[in-house]
Amino acid sequence: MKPVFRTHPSRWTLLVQNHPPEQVGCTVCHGGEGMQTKGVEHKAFRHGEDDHYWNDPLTEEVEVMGHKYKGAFLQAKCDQCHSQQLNVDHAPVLAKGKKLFVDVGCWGCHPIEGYNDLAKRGPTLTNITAKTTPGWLHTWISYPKGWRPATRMPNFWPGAVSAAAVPHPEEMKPEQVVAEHRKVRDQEVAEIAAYLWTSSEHAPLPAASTLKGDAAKGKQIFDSVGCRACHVVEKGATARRSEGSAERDYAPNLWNVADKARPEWILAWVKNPKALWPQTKMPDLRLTDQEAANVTDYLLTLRSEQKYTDPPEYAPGQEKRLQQLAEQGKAQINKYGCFGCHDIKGFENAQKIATELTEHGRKDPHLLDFGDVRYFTEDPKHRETYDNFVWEKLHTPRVFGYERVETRMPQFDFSDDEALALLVFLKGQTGDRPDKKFLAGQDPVKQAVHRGEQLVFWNGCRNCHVVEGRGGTIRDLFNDDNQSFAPPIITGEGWRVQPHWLFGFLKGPVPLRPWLEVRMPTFHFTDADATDVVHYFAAAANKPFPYLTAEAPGLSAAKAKEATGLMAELKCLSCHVVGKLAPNQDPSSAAPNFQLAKTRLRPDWIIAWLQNPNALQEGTRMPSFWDFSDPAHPTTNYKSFGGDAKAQIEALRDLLMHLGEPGYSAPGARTAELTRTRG
Amino acid sequence: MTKLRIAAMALGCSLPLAALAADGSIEGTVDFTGKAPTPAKLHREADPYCAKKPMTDPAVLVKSGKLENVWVHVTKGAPATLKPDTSKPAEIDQKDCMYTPRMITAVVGQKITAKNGDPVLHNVHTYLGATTVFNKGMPNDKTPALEYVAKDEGMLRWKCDVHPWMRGYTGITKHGLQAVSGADGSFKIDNVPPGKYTVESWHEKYGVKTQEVTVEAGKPAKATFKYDGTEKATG
Repeated sequence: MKPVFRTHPSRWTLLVQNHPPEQVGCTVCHGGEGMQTKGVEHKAFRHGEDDHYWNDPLTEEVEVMGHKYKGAFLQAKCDQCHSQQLNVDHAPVLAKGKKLFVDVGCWGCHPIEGYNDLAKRGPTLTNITAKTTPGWLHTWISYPKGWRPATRMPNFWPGAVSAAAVPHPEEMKPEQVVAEHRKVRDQEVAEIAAYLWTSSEHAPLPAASTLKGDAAKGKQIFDSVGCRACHVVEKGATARRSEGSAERDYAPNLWNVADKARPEWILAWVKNPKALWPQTKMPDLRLTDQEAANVTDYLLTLRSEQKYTDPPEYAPGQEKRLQQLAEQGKAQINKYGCFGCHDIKGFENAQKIATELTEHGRKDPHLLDFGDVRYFTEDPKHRETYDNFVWEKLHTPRVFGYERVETRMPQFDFSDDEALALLVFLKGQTGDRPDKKFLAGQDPVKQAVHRGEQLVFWNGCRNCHVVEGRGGTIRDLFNDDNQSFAPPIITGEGWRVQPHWLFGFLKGPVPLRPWLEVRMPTFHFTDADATDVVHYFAAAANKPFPYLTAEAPGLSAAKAKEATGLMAELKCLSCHVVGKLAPNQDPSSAAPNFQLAKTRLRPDWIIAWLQNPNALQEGTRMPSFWDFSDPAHPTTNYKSFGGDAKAQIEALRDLLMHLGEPGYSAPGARTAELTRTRG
Repeated sequence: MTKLRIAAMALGCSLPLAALAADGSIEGTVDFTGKAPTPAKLHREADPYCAKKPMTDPAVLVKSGKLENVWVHVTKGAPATLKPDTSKPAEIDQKDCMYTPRMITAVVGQKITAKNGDPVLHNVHTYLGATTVFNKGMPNDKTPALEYVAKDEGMLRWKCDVHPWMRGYTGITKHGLQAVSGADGSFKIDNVPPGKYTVESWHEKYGVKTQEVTVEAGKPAKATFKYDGTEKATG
């Protein structure tokens, strides 16, 4: 039976814990006039009698251009207080909209509070001559999706692809419309490309490597070090999509990358991406010169049959013509706002070209220019509403253009899902900011979590790691037999490791499991960002930050010896490494280096870990050696330390936290220098 | 008195007869029609103890076109009234760094015990699907055998993370209508009440095959499963 009357969903979290009605009121979620707590505070409030329209917007069916969505816009309201938060629990559509908004770079053209300072979304174009050829540049600008269907780069000449994308006289045939638009496009693209080309610095790339590359070895490196966490190399593959959108690649599909990039560019790029584009998300995998040469040779094998002819103005002797075009190109770039997403020389201080969105969600439909579009008023389903305007604008950005108003917004080909997410996000941008005490994320811990979530999202940590229960995309490359070679699950990392160690690791990763082929890249985090990430993990695990106390008392010489004996009895070193792999050790069974424990692990975590590893990390290879199913009466099979399970575990902790100091040694005196590879 | 004795005799005879008449069995073989793969050498050098006995991978054991270690079990049609025997534990040994036997069966509620017959650390890491059921460290042959009471139906997979080649399998059902194919590929499921059944075969490398089997009172029903080696297990 379908329930007719029911109470709030997720009542405990949403209502009692986080939004007590006597403090927050009802209208903040339910809508209505003003914010007040009248009624609830006297506890004499009767739903359906004392209130009106309470079901708006909860149960209301919203119709957008003929699509029905039930209660969809409720989530927009969360953003009033949760604007700093990327992942809003219970508001998945809003969260998706935010991520998509950040991901496709809407803020590049639209000023909007809170997003204006993000790094530009597209690559810098100040060194484009070193990267590609004029022929490819033309192909790309003309229709990016034609070359790479899952790109974020939109289409600035949608009429040249489909007549339905632009308003046109009814009597005009679609082919005619497209032909007209192509003419305009070809001219404008030539102008824009000419400007980009002539304004580009001819900065010499580091001298091409004299090392001879090996494509087969390069492929092996590409497949194993982690490139595939973000990139695919198969035409049409959908395995690495962006968190905000199932339609867009996280990073470029490289199946035809050699069509685009010059060999010397690829070599310099894989060696140090941020040298060529300081704001790129692509991290540094610390490839050696030889590895970079091999990877370059491999990437150069990834090409299609397509030909890209340089336009005639790039021929020698045509410099004057190219210069003329470039001058017009400057105006085109101004018009389309290319600098919103790309660094372009001469546009360093250019202002964003599009409508401010900070308070867009409260716009009255009368303030929106529907142009010559008439069908909204004729069809009752298609009224002139805010929702319909945004929906249509997202799908067909040029639809509202007419002779007096030229629309410039490019076509992103948003799916209905994407458009709904963006619409929900935009509707939340009302500029309403409740009293500061109601805003989420005011205390330092929550702020750290929110900031850390942004960094984790932006840097793609989840492409490799499972972070707080989500992510680990790259694990699809590992099977049952080699799961142990996948990047570690770092849910609860803030509970496991010492903040100081994590900070150092983020700044300069020292491989913890040097036998893994996949590498933790160097992200070149600033100190502030690295601190934020560390704070995030601590906060997410509900642990204090910064970490100050270490409770690992020393052991007497006899006890230390007994602990070493216990470690020998448990045969911890069957898997755990001390310094480096044991002779003949199979890397697939290897576990983290004990020598790093004292600088890396929280002593209290070691206790919890030894008591029940699977409870802290489900599926871990670490077995339990004690039975703590009844925590008050744990049992042990071992005789040392008076046969007391707790004392045994504490002794192992103390041994680990002092390992290497005089009197503390691992069994078999297996100590070795820390191997630092690929540092 | 005579009457009584006859009656008693009749009773005495008829009871086992009735039991025989009621239950049938499902029996047959698992055939392997393709070319049997050559078993690869296991890389056991990492542990000096295990390295003493070189071994090949026993994942696919084919002899004269018959496949060993296939779990044959009823998936549909088993009456809920069946009460399989849970009095004796199902036993597994870790011997010479291998699970012995590689494949056994158990029923829900039955105890499964695993001892470590080796002087080296084995961890017994069991999975149902991708979920860890338990993971216990057994440092040497003095470690008391671990005990686990089977809770859920399905294929309980055993893995040792110290010795990654070690694999064991325990097929678990509620009804106990199951068997493991022997070295000659044959299997026999006893005490099957008459009826229609869906029977599934499961092999660690070649996955699942199913067929319908009708069991008549007191008669063995034949079932043959065929693998050709091109199949792939999906999970």
